[in-house]
Amino acid sequence: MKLVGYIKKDSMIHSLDPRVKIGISIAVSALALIFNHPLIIAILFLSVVIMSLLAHIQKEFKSRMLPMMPIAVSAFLLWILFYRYVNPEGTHQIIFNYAFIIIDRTSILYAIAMSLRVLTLLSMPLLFFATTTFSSLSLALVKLKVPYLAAFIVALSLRFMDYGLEEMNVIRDAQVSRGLRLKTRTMIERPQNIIMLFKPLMEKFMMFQQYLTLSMDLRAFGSMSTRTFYLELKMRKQDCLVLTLVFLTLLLGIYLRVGGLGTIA
Amino acid sequence: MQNIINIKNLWFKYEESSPWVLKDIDLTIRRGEWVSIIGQNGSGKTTLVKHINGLLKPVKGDVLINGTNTKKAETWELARSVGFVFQYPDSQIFANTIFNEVSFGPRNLGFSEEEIEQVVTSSLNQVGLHKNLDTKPGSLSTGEKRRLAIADVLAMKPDIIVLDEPTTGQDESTCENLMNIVKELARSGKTIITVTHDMELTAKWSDKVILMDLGKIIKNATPRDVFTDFELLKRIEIDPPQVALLSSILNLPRTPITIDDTVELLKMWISR
Repeated sequence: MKLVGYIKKDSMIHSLDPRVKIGISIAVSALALIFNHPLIIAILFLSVVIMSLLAHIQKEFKSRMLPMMPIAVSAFLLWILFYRYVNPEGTHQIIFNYAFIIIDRTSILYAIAMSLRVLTLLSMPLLFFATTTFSSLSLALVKLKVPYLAAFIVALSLRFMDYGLEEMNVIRDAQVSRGLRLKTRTMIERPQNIIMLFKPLMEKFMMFQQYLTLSMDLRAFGSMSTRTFYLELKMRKQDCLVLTLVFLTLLLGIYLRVGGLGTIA
Repeated sequence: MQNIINIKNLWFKYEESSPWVLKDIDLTIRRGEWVSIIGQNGSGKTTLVKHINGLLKPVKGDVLINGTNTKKAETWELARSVGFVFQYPDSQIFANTIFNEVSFGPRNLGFSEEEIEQVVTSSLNQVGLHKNLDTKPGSLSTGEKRRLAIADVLAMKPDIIVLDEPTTGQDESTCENLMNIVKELARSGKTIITVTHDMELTAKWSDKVILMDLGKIIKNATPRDVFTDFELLKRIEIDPPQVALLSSILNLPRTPITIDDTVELLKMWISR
């Protein structure tokens, strides 16, 4: 299964300028970070889900989000158990009390908010990469005055994240087929398992890096200080409109947050 | 001969929302047989063999290995019965010496130190890799690495050996060497399953050929039966061995499928 690969569809989200999508990603992530009320973060997460529907990638989005669920569940459990210890002040309406486990209304709300925050922060980049090609991403970064080499490295690293995951799966299958028990090993044996999985992976990456360097050299990469692009990005009216709306929403969010709204009482 | 692999009504897909990759597969393989699985890319060959050692579990149906249902066994447990040699040996080689590399499997399966020494030596002998046990695997050639990968698997003493694309990227004499080793294993009673695109290899070495297309087994027969069914092969865009193709173009009364067959046929005609 691909995690960050582009999904080709004909949709309004796909057709947005990548700079607008970068803007949406920053705004949604920033709002998810500045607010801590579950309702507001739920709305933000819902907006990402709606965008996945508009992009016609709901099936793929769901399957990419499923591996993220344990992280959200862990965040929920951690905050529900430890919120009271992190934030001992304030009113606590205790709902459950056994040994060191004390669960109150605020910790439940906070735990829901944090798990939704995790989901929002993870889902937004997944949506971005599913609807933006790596070449248009690097082009957008260049337009945003990021040096081309840095933009190229970012796009390349993301492109090969899926390659690394696939290779990792092949190596894991090969070692498990030789009787390796990944699940039941003790803490002492776990580092050995990591060596068995990572050594072949590192060797593959080294080999890949050699081929990549060679092929880039053969195409005279970096021989000129300036470069032209096959594709050109141009902001259309709808791109400007969406970007303005996103910017205004972000400003409104910051204004409300500074005014003390959007937090758990 | 006794059945060693029984696959009943196997259906498989990778994700709930994705299409079926394997559709209603029924297959029986007998102990000591050499079976080749052929078909276009994406026909389901590798997915099918990954069910044999439990790397994949059926969505519907059952896979029985030596009577054990793979749904109820972990891959490491099935490793005692099924050895899997991956397409690229670099995926599995990790140790700093040949000895450590080959002993990895038996050690996982709980062999004693004495047994490990014995199986490592005999496995390396079987694949003809007469190297110092302290040799670094990274210093071996591609062909030697592939033989090392087979030795890795042999050291676990499995009854079934699955070879995924065993001849990829190797010259003819290395392939011939490798196939002779595999033939010896088959003679010693191991069940061999090869997944391959190499029709010459399939025609020459296999006892049985399984032809797959779009997740289904469309023919399960002897190499001769498969490689003389030109209509079927054409329909699924598989080229038969060149000698068979030549004989069909020349419309010969008998179709050879290997070079040996052709030589025999020519000798017969000349002697007439």
